[in-house]
Amino acid sequence: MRKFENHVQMVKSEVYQKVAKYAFEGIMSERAKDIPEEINPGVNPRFRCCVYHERATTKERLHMAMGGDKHNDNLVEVLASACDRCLENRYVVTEMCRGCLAHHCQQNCPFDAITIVNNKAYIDQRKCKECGKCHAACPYNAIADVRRPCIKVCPTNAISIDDNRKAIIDNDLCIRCGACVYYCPFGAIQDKSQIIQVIEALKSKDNNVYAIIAPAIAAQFNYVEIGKVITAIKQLGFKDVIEVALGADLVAMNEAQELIERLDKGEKFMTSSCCPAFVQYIYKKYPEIKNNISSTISPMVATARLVKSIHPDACVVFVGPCIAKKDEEKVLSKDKSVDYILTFEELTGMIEAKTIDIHALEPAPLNNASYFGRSFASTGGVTGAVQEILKTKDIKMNINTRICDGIDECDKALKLAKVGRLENTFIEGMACKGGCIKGPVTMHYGGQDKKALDRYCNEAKEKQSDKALRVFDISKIDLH
Amino acid sequence: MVIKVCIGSACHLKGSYDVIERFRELIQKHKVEDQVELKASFCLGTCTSAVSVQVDDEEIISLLPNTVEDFFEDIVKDIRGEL
Repeated sequence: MRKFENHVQMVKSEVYQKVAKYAFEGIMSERAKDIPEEINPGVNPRFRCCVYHERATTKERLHMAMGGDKHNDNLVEVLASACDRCLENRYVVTEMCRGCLAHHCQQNCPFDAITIVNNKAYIDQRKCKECGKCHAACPYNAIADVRRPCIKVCPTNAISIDDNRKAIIDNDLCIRCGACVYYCPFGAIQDKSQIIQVIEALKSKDNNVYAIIAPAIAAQFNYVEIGKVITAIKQLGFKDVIEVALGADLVAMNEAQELIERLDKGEKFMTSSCCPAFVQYIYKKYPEIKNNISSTISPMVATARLVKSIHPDACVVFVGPCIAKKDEEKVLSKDKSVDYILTFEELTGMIEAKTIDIHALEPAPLNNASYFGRSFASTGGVTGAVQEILKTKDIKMNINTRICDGIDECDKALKLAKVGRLENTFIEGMACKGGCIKGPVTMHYGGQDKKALDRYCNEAKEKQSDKALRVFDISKIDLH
Repeated sequence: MVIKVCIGSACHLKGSYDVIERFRELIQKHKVEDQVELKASFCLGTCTSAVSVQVDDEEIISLLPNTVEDFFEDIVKDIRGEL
């Protein structure tokens, strides 16, 4: 059975399951209003102050599962009733303060914000500038840094606090990376869902809905083999399940070609374009170098176009571990190649809603892409795939690669690039540390994720990108 | 005439890419490019009898890379007969 890693995963899943169940049964409009009470029955709360508060948060989660606020173009929203209004003051003296004689905290405060009251430190919050020197100076770790988790992890300072001390997101700064969604311990920031639209598409009689699955699947279902998940997806009504790693093979080939052409033209460097949060980061923080982003589409879009080149009437649903992907098509791509985007959490909710006994299923294979296409799911994969193509094509160009694992490393490389001091010619940027297998809405965060991905890569029938694509007429697919 | 070869996962594992390449070679060899259109297709729904191949709207049959040639010879005879 699926084991939830925390209660946030659990409460999200409860809502997805209910929504999927009623949407499959076609009774969503009648039953939606009952869902908060069905999930939180009786009078006793499970986690919050009272059951009414829990129902209010479930109602907001339900709203997100049904698409969220249509007037807010950010797919990430704060659930006001779920936000716990964490402490406003960043540095707080805790009970660990022993009332020592040295008062290093006071000595080190450049703003004279600390006084000693009854032998213990006291911070005057009006004077505190949150420099952190007292926190660093105390030998007992008695001064805690309790910055809000959402604010702490946001790489673009897009989150602030409103008059009611609830978190608010500045959409112009937000890059949709989803870090806040994962880090908020109250599950108070969530992504909007298209689960109902996908179910409606599956219920139509067209039999043309394809699931394209991100290679991060390797690290998602640690409770059941992938083959059984593929059978379950087909039982939901999907016509076929295709690996997005196949699109990644196509991207790798195109990006290698593009890199050579750009460097030949005298450009100094090119960045990868497969991580939409990284691309957004450049657009918003380093617009000066946006022309250096590879113009090659992402593996998701490439796979969708590949599917539609064979089946033009296909309805393509991407399933992945990513929130930023949900915005990629709209913001960055020319057309609507991908029809809908789901997360693995949402997909699992659909499987559970159908009460499919996943363990009893006969496994079905999933094998379209190459070793290198699959390796896109962790940091270094894109670079490895591009290098392999240059090697097999026997191109003797000196490519100096820089692999950026997580947004902080991306930022360092981009800073250098902006001032013309970057020595590298290819930057791979992955907003999530570890790559897609550590995405904000993955179902499993464990030490074995990379190993699971490596195993999955090695199971690919095709070992090289061009071999995985040899039956496709790729000249007809627009890759920009 | 349209020959559809399934390239879904089950068929791919059983060698559908090789089946397609065999067909390509044979189409060229017999110079029937104008009469035969070779197409890849995703899951044709008969995964247990991979590699699934469908000619026009006829029943789906199962081929392997080494049985393509015999099958295609018959198709060529049909085409020549039609001409």
